[in-house]
Amino acid sequence: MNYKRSFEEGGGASQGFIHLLWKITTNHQNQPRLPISANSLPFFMEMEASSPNQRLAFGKMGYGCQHYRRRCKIRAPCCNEVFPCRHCHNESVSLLSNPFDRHELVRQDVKQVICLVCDTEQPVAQVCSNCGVNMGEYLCKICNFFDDDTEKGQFHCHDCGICRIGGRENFFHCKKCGSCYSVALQGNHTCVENSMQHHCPICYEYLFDSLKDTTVMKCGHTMHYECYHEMIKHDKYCCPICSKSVIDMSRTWQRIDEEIEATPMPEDYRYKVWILCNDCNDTTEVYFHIIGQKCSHCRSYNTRTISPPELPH
Amino acid sequence: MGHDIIMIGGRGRSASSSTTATAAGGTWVSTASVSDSGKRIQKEMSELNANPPPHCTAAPKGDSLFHWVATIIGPPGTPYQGGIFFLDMTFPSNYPFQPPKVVFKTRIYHCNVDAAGNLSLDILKDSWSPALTITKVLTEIIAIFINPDPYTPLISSVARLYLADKAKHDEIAVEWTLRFAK
Repeated sequence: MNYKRSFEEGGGASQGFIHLLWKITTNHQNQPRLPISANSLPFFMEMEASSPNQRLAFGKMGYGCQHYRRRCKIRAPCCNEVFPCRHCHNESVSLLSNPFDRHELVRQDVKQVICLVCDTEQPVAQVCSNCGVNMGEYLCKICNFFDDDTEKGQFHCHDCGICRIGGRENFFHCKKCGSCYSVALQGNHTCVENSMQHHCPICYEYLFDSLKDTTVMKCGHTMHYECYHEMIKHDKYCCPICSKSVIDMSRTWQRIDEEIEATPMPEDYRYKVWILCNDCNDTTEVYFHIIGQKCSHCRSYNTRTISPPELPH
Repeated sequence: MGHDIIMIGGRGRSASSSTTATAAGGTWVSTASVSDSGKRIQKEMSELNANPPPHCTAAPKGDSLFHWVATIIGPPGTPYQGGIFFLDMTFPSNYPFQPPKVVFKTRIYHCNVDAAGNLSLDILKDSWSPALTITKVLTEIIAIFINPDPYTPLISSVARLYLADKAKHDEIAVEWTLRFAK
């Protein structure tokens, strides 16, 4: 009989059933019988008189949800329901039909957690008070964040006020931008105040605590790395927020130069217009052309027409 | 003696489904579209419900997230005051890289809106940016109610009247608002 197979398939088996199967499969002859209660340790642990270290490591990486590996669930302080993590809560609640019921879980407010090994509800702690397992290899008491997978390199940034991944040594907190950036960007980026405390312009997810990678563009504005590539795939090369070019467009400008040379406008359309350059923010007066108008300061075609500026008298 | 550590309640939702319950008073609604544009429109809808802009409402027409109906109440201080104007908004499949199409369903006397309800607005054509949202588009439309743009008109006769004799233009606008939008 393959009892091991039956455990792996029956992922949702209740505690009572497991205890019963252990009773059948374990050799009882040399072992004292112990009463089985709902909150007792899995049978074999009581047998072994296991050391605290063994108990701490029990079930590491074996429990959790699709977002995190951890050995506890949290009780949401806002709606008092139990969820494996705050993302599971946010996803479930965002599907509610009444839009006024939708809300986000505030991670700092979590008070109670439920150990996944022995189902005991208890205040937030590193080690379960009942069965002695380590509920999360990495625990941040401020964010109430448990995670068994320490390979992610979690660290808590006190300036940001949240936990981030990627290894503390790879990131620095830029005070002006108000967020943690990769050390490659130190002294190497345009600071924009509170640059990450807004939504990604493409997918509208809040960037500051987003799980997906974020990139900073030349102009200092931020968006998701994937959304940036999506934008480039759709042939849009300007920042969605400030319309500055995100990549070096000099080859394109040269090609447009050649096109304009080759197609002169007819007499009737040869009038002058005022344009504002999105790249250098300067205004110029140039001849209208159907293909585009060139900024005489920075030679870019990333411009838009404006009404003639008012000159002071 | 050797024994295996058996994992109870592995990955996936099967372990959690026994204890998570639907949040108080809610019923689950499945999202019909799981594409990126659908998700973005969904997020805009939550944002709109959380912070509704003044003088307007917007909601999906029926089941499809890509067809919306919006209403704008004529802002006070304009000849369109008190009128209720209906708009149809259609989102392309590659939203937000292409702007939504906005059509007025209520007739209005305005130099930037024609008889068929087509609207000429720069942000809905060349100046569109993916960072713009439904809220911002509606706010921009309300702005042209307050300040029409006669220099890039859709109906030149209305624009000419606006520049030549604003009072007469406003009079006709009030008349049309009474006739069509109330």
